[in-house]
Amino acid sequence: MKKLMNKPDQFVTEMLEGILAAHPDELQSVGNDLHCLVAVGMDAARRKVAIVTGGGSGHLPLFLGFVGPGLLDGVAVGNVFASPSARQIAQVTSAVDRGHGVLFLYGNYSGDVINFGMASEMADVSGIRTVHVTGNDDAASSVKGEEDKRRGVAGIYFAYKAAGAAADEGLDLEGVARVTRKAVDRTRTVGVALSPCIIPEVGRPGFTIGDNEMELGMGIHGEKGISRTALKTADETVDAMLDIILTDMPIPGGSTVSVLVNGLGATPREELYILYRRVHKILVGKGITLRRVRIGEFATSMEMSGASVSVILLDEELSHYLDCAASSPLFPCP
Amino acid sequence: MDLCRNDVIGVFDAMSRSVTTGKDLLTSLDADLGDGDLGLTMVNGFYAICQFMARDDAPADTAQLLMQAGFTMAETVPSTMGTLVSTGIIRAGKAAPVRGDIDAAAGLEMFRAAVEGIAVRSKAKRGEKTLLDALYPALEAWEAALSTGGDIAACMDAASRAADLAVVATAGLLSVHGKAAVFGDQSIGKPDPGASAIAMIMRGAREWFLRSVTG
Repeated sequence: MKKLMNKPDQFVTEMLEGILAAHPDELQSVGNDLHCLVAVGMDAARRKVAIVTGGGSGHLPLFLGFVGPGLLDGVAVGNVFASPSARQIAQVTSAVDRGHGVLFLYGNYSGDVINFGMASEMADVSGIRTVHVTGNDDAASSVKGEEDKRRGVAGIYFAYKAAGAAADEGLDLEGVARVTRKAVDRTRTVGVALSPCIIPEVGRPGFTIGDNEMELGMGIHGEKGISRTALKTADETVDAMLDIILTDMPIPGGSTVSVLVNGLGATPREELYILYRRVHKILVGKGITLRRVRIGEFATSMEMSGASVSVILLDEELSHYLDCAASSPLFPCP
Repeated sequence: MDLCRNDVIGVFDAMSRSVTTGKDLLTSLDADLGDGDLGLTMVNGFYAICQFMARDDAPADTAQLLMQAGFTMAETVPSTMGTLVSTGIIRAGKAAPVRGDIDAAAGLEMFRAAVEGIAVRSKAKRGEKTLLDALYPALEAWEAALSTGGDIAACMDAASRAADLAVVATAGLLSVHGKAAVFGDQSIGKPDPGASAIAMIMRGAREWFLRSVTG
């Protein structure tokens, strides 16, 4: 293992200390817990639904990188690949609630589902209303018809963006949840991994991928994918990814989509653009219009190399929310 | 008889004893269909509740006592079953009478709130081989006992017996949730560990009533 760190068991704490030191004007911790972060300068009197996310560390800029104006209000940060606790989520929730309810928006992983569920019970006792929306864009993680078992990966960005903009425009909790669910329902992602990731406290990869191999559909914690094959070219890889996405969510010609090409941590942007080149060619060839294309890192898996492609089928409302202004210190495409 | 705050503490002590006695059984049932930590989850969770309830600064109000107990359990055992049982306890607390003791009718409302809360959180339905397959029959038995004029002890007795019978019936069901789902058809013939834990908890409560009513 080659990592720039001090003590493995201080990995998350020291990362959070660094983030707070670097971005004091944008992020602050609440309740004396580095794992509970909220946006600085929140106007408590504003009539606005608050949005809270959370999840394990090891995925920057996910999750805390999407806290900021036009995006999310707060985040509970777990240890590497581990859910934050219900109490941490509840603490962030109390800090950001303005009395108009709180949307819980997070990836569909059992630990997060459990802890956000319990945080709802805690918030409820304090008189804070919560509604849950879970990201489940990974089309490779379960078959069609079992979307509720799918994992949330990089495509949650679109849900964050839509939710943040809808809340900013003053929609009520049900309205924000409706827009967010629509964004989730219209987003599909497929990833491909070329090399594994290493959890600092474990110190070695939990699985291996051979030098000449790739795994299609692997999750961002190394969850098993759909197929392990010999390394393909970028074009062949995109063809396989888009085939899954478009089979799962057919997109008629004349539609407008946004596309996000996400690096998993150790893949250079050059390669992401080579992938996007093929995505663009295929979609344009089908008569599909692309807008607000995003290329960069949105949901990583430590030093895993590989990438994911996300497609969201837009309508007027979602297009509008993608256009709204938003910013965060870690937001890769302002 | 109706339940006062200290009776509630007594009931939880009895539940804790029941899951402690049954720990190995729960562990082996869960090892067959899950990851084998259910016995420990229940024992640690109820132990934490009893420790909490015994504290001098524990809430004097039954509703608050139950809600805080649920949070305590959730924090101690943040697994799926730990969280679901905690949710039930929190919801029961929220539904507890604002003042006065808990009679059979109030008990039914608390029990119903608990089951509904667990159903929402688990996203499971009846018949999918989960704890709900013990909870719903127990809830119905409570309701039936109440409608024929039973007091809270009679209702708990009926509910606990119904849960015991329901656990046996879960052996015929197919697991579709959680780790058990991967066993598919192989899950048939084995009782559901979650339902078994519910029956065990309720047996503890029933035994408390038997002891208390007969003195």
